[in-house]
This record gives sequence, structure tokens and C-alpha cells, in this order.
Amino acid sequence: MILQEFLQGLADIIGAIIGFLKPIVTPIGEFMVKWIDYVLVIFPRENYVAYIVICVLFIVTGIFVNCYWPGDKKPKYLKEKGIEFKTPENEKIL
Amino acid sequence: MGAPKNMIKGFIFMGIYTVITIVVPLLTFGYIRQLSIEGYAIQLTQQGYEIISFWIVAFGLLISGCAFFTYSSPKQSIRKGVFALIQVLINCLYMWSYKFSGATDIQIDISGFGFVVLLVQDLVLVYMGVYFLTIAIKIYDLVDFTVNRKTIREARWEDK
Amino acid sequence: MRAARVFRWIMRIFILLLTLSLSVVTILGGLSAVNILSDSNNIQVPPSGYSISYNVTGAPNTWYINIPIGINNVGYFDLNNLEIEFILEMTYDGSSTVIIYSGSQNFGNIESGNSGIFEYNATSFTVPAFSTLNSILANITVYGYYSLDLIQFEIHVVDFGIYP
Repeated sequence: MILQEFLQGLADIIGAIIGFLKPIVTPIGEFMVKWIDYVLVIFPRENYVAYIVICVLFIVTGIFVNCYWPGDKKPKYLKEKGIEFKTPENEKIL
Repeated sequence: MGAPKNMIKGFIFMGIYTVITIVVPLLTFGYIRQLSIEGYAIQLTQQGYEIISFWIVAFGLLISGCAFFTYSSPKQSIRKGVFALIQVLINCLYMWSYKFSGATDIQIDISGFGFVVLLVQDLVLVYMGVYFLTIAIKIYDLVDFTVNRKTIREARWEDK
Repeated sequence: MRAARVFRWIMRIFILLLTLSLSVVTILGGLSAVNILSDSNNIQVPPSGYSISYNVTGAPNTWYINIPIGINNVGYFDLNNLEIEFILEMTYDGSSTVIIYSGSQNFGNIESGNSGIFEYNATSFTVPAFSTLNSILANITVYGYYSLDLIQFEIHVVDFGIYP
């Protein structure tokens, strides 16, 4: 009984949230659907080859990029050029 | 975080996305094909199942590959921003593929009586609206990462 | 934390709230369906709970069919915009078939926790001249919205025997 009342209360709260946001979000969703329908035409429907190739490409590129630019230390070419990003302004923001 | 750690993180998230976008939906639809509620069969034709399966696997592969690139990229980097945006866009296509594959029109046959149809298109439209907000956030992130590139990089290198 | 990140977090929380709300709606919608359908008393259509009253044997201008439908909404959300479409198909003189009635009626909403009994009245039949009436079958479709109008449902009753 307590659980039922809790769930009904929850449904009422969620109902109020969705009821308020639905008129805003649904037209946006309809807009999304329009452009998606256009874009979907270009995707091949016959076989998985293109999808597998793109997936593998993402992974291989990801590995390659990470090996060269892991992002945790200043790249060699910047060090060699002596480029410094640290400024008093940046300090303040940080 | 060094390159190996980045890549481990990337592979972990790729695995998670593979499970969420390919394995679980395929198992679910496979289960639904044989499912009956109180003895009444839920109708999912062989053709419908094949169409849904194709798009699940196709977009699931793209999402998983993208997830690897996104999550293996350094925090707040421009490349992370770009691929996170691409990933959300592919996610939208993936979501909508359920609709045009007919997976959002659930039909339950009740022999000797008729059938019941559940149409969840409006629910999907609201979800798409939420996805638009997510796209907006990703574009905002990308602009933020680009504009504040120097600050972000400096902070990242300072941590080391 | 940079101001740009604070704004981002606010937006993310907002999106999370929306997504969670939608998930809860889906779950509660499913639970409601289980609540309503697990007890046959919640939906009573002829012949279990009520009886159809009809007159399809006299002169065609006196024909009518009355179907009472009882629905007890024990779910968490309102059942909205309930509409019933009713099509009657008559077979006469051996194998001739004709649609003698097609119409729909809107019964409005049933709030959560409430019940309603509706009566569908079919009159104004277009009956051809016949010597033998073999059968009258009804195709009944109930349309409605549930889960904050996010889920639309259709219940199709096919070839429901009205006569004999």
C-alpha cells in the first residue's frame, strides 16, 4: 500500500515534469526526425562492410593518435619551440 | 593519463557501448520473438527482425568505434569534443532506426480474439528532443574546448 | 571550476532529470499495464461482464446494437481520448457479404484510480434486401493514449460474433 502510494506520488511528479516539458521537447524531436530521415538515406542497407571498416578505422586512428598525442605532457615540438601557455590570466581562471 | 591508460579506458567504454547498443538489444529482440504474454504471442516477423538486427549491429558498430576514440582522448580535448558530438549524432540515428524498422509498433496477437498494438512513437519523439539537448551540450563543449584550449592544456600538463 | 563547466553541469543535470523521468514513465506504464490486465474485472466487455442488447431481426429501420464496456483504471496514469470504432459485417443469402454499419464514438478520459462504463450505441444501419440472415460479425477497435499520452494503444477485436 505504501509502495503504491509512493509510486502514485512519483507518477504525479513525473507527470508534472513531462507535462510541462513535452510541448517544448516534442517539436524539437520532430525537427530531429526530419534531418535524420534525410541523413539515413546515405547509409548502406546491404551489408556490414562499410560499418566494420569505419569502426576499425576509428579504433586504429584512436590508437595512433593516442600514441603520438596522449595529452598528458607537452608535445615535443612545443617544447623545442619553447612555446608556453601559462599566463597570469590562465592562472586566475584555473 | 598516458597513452596506455587512455587506450584501456577507450577499450573499456567501447566494450560497454558494444554491450548496450548491440548485445542487449539483439538478445532482447531475440527473446521477444519467442515471448508470449499469458499465452498470447508478440508478433515480430522474420523480415522485421532482420531489419531491426541489421540497423542495431550497423549503428552499434559505429557507436562503439566512436566511443573508443572519444573515451581514449584526453579530458576536455578538442578531439574528444568532436568525437563525442559525432557519437551523439550516430546515437540519434540509432534511436530512430528502431522507429523506421517498426520496433516501436509492438503487436500482440490474441488468437480467436484479435490483436493489441502499442505505438510508442511519441515517446521516441520526446527522447529525440532530449537528444537535441545533448547535441547542444556537445557543441557547447566543443566551442568551450576550442576557445579555452590553452587554459585546458596548461591545466592538464600542470597536473603531471 | 571554470564558469563554462558550471553551466554545462547544470544542463547535464537537467538532461539527466528528463531522461530519468522518461525511464520512470516507461517503467510505471508497464507496471500499470500489468495492474490493469492482471485482473479480468478491470476491463469488462461482452460477454463476460455485460450483455449486448441488440435487435437485428425486425424491420431494418428498427435495428440497433448496444455494447456496454467497463474499464477500471488501476494504473498510475490517466487513460486519455478513448475512442471506439465499430464496423459490422453482415453475411446474407448464403455467401453475400456487406458492411452494414461503420462508426466511431469518443468516450473521453478515465483518470487514474477511477472507473467508467461506456455504452456504444450503433444505429442507422444500411441493410440490403435479404431473405436469409446468416451472420453478423463485428470488428471493434479501441483507441486510446496512456503514460502521459506518450504511448498510444489500439485493441482490435476481429470478427466478434453478434448474430446468431
